[in-house]
Amino acid sequence: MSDSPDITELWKRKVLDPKNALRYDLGPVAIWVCFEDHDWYVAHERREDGVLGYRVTHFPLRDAPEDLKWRRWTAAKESLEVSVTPHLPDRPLVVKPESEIKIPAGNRALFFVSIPLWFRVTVGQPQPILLTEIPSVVLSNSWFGDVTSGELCYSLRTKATRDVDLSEVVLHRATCPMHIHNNSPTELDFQRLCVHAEFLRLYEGQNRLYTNHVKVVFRGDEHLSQIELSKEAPDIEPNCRLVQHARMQAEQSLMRKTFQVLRSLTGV
Amino acid sequence: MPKTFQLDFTKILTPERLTSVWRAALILVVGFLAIQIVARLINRVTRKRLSPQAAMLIRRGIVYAGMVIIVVSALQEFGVQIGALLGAAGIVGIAIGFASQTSMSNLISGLFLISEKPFSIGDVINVGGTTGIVDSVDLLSVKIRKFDNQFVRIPNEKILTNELTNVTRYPIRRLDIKLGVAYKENMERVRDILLDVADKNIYALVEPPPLFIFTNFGDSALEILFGLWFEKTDYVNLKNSIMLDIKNRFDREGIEIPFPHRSIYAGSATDPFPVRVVNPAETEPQPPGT
Repeated sequence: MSDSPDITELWKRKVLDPKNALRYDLGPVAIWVCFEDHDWYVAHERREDGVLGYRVTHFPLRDAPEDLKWRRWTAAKESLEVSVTPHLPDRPLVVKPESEIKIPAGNRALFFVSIPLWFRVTVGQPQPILLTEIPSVVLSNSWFGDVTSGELCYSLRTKATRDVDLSEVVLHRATCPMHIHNNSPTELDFQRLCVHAEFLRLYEGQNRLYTNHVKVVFRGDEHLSQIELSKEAPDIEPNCRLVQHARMQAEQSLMRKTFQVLRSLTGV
Repeated sequence: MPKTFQLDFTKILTPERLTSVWRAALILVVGFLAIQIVARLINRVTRKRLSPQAAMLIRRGIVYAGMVIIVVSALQEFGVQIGALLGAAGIVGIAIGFASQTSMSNLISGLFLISEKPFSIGDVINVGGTTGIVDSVDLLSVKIRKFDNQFVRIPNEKILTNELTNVTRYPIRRLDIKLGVAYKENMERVRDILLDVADKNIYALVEPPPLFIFTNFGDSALEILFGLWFEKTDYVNLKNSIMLDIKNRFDREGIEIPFPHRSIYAGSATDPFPVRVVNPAETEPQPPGT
């Protein structure tokens, strides 16, 4: 049995012992990977009562919990290498602060939003085969925009902390630095914000994961908000390392209806 | 004495006629093959760029037009006068038109449906109580497949004159659940519990928020309308899970879902019918000596 608690070690490829299963403890979710009778098997279990910690363990297959629901993939046994890597969610997120935030006209603010990560299980070398993606936290669905033409998102409640040190230091979430500029002549009611996580990149810091900076410029209800995604690594920590590219490539500046303020919902 | 007919094939199958037959056969075979190839090419091009309905209409239009051209070309090889044939076809067409007013009505309704586009192939529609997935939109009828895999053909005229519901037109829908709770329950607590149940269900959308309406003081229950928004493909998942969630949570919280109650009154305006519950052991005859 071997443990690898190092953050960089966690995402590195592991070689599976055929008689054992690999167990990844990744915060609230544990992922099991094993190879048996020419096929790959993956199972996961969630712990609602607490966080499991972060480590990879070679576990005797016979000791695996009996109630695990294994899923099976037929894949060539070219190599028994396994990797579990963090990724940002596959859909946009409707971020809702726990308490309503107001940004006065002409002001700007920096918030840190904690985004749950998806874990991608790939096997084999030199052409890794994607088996599955498992979200660290199951998020509820939400809708952003008009009921006839909006888009399907995940719902995410956030503390929207102003200090990065107050944001959670966990490896199953990424901290997204978000700059909001209110360039409109009126106060901005920050009730909901649509964050397109599929356009964001993932970086590794000293002991936590970050996304690139997001800058949202609000010009008023009647205008599209301008979104800029930084191409640089976040400067919150020195020497942040790129872990994952964005799922989709975005244009440097996106013009989107990003905010949903009370006026637009109620017509007041 | 019966007359006998003798076929002189040497007169019928003259070299000119044989050539015409060969040329007509060649036109038919090559023409139909060409139509099939063109139809497949058009299908490949339009499938990605147009809706399935528009692609099907274009494909069929080209196939039918091509078939008419090929048949006319083949007939011309035999020296058939196309002008006279079309004239005769026109007269026959008028006669058939008078005789088939219903079909003409369906045909015109079909044209209106195609231009109005109230639904397209793959949509779930409800017409006159029949619900199913649209398989094809033709000039005379719309074919739908019900959820129990039955095929239904609905004439276009019926669709145009009846109320039609397109269930999957918009990306999200609302599932309305009618609930009743006992008169003793605190409705604010019931509302908070239902909203919490919706919040914990992954298929119910967080936004737009669920709808809670205290609709009526019913005969046996306080009646509620609870509406949950969902992405249109999650209907079955949400319906199955939310009903279980509500029942389990109400049971856990001790909230009563009442069945119809009847109180029988005897004479007095307020006092209920007198019923006395007694211990059965007291009413049973006791054996002697006890």
